Amino acid sequence: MISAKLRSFIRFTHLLEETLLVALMAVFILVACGQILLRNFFEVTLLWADALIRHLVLWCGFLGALIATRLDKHIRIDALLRLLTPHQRRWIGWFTEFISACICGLLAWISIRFLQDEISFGTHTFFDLETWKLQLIFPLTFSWMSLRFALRTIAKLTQDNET
Amino acid sequence: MTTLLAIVLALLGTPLFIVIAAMALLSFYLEGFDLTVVFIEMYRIAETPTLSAIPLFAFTGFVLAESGAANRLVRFSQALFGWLPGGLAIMALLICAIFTAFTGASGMTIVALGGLLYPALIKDRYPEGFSLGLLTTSGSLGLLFPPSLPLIIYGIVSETPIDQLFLAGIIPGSLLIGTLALYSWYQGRIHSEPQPPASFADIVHIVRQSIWELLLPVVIIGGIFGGIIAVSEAAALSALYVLIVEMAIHREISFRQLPQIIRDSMVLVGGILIILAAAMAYTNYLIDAEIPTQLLAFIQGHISSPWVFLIALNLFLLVVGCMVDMFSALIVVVPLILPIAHAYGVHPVHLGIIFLTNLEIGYSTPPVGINLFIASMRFDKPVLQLYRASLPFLLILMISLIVITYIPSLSLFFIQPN
Repeated sequence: MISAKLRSFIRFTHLLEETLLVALMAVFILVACGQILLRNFFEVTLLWADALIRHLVLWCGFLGALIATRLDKHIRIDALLRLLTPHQRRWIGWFTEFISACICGLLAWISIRFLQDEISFGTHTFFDLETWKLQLIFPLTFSWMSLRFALRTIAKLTQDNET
Repeated sequence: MTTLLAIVLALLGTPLFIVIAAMALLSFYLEGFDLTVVFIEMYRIAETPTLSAIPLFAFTGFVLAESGAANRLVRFSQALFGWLPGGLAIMALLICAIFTAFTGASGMTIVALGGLLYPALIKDRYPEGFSLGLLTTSGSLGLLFPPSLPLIIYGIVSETPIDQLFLAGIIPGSLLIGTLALYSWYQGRIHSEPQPPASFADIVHIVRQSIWELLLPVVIIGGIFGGIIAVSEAAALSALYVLIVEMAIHREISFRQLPQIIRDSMVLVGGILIILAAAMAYTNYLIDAEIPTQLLAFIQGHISSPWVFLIALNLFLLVVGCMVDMFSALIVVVPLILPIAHAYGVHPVHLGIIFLTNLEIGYSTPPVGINLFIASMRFDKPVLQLYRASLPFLLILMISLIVITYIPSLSLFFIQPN
């Protein structure tokens, strides 16, 4: 059903998000440790380091959440689900995935409006970066998450038809 | 109505950040707010300074879990405590506690250490039920010790200094381990056959092997309490430290494994942070709508004594801990309970310790505590057997919980009165 091209594109996106995450995390650890060493041994304070680190937390966290969507590792209450049969679980499953796709889609749309506001304010942060560029992570993750939840809704529905 | 809808969605297993975000969106919409306010609140993730401790400590924990550190810890404590009656069981408690302090209550303790400790306990003739109960309930032991992620989350959500929380957890955490250790000693005297003491040369050899990991808590705790470094700086340094120890000294982790470790740790952190982001928006609405104040008025109408309030709080939190993952429980419930507890004169640091102790116990509480299910999978035993096995441990933990709840000075001992 899914063409080979689409499949290789999906694989490419997995690679992309993971590479970005690893790169950002590497910068995160380097800057976080680097600034401690610089301050304590060379009495150099990097004024931009704190703001950069806080934004790296945001980006790494949201990328992690995006990957969690793919791996189905989001925190949820599964206390009741543990007591159900696999068949019942799948039925409830497609419904919750569908709701999640809708909410993420809505969040993505609102985040784009939020970014438009920010662009018109024209605020700047460290390295004279426009703030909205750092907030791009919101529409990026939520739209991508919405797509992932939607794909899983379809997957769960078609599985049901087969059984 | 919105609350009811949210509860149904949550119980059906919808990801919690979706439920919370949906509540926030719906509430703001009904009040006629512009919905972009949700993202103004979410962006506060990038404005909270101590938050960087969470990814860094999580990464540290995952590196340790992936390396041979657990193995070395087991050998080290076996050499030191193996000859004592109940020594192996007591050592199992200690190792689980240390491991959980570093990895958070993510079920990793049971998965990573269960396989090492369970056969060892059975080999030393500990009864099966005892061994299973011990490892199941120990899966969340140690959450009161630094640098436990749930303690950091409580600090961030309740705006309580994290170094104070780290200090506050030491006596209550030791009490939990101490009472379980007494029980293990008693069981060990009846059943087990202790190993002959290790030779001096053996001990020296094992200490040499594990010295680097043993120094890590010293570096963190010493650094923070010595006032040399802040909590987030300690997190950065421990990440660097374990990378050097496991990659350069022990050579157990290769460069190739790093992307996988980063990914796994950030999946956990991302799952927490996105709930925190959604909750920041929703909590703000709740406070605007004066929900905590109404809740307080309602509770004060029914409960007048702080003692009764604490009992009710304990019962409520045990149920929450049994049903809900610890991180989301803290993020969602703490902002609601904090003002109420304040009105009953409960110190925020003490409240944090009560919260974590409850959630920790709730994790192993039947019928749905997560530890029971992780252990059931890990040891390939029916869940019902684990209910029975963990019962004596739960009873002991409950007694400690009552002591911790009603003697605030245990938690506040090291904290300067302000």
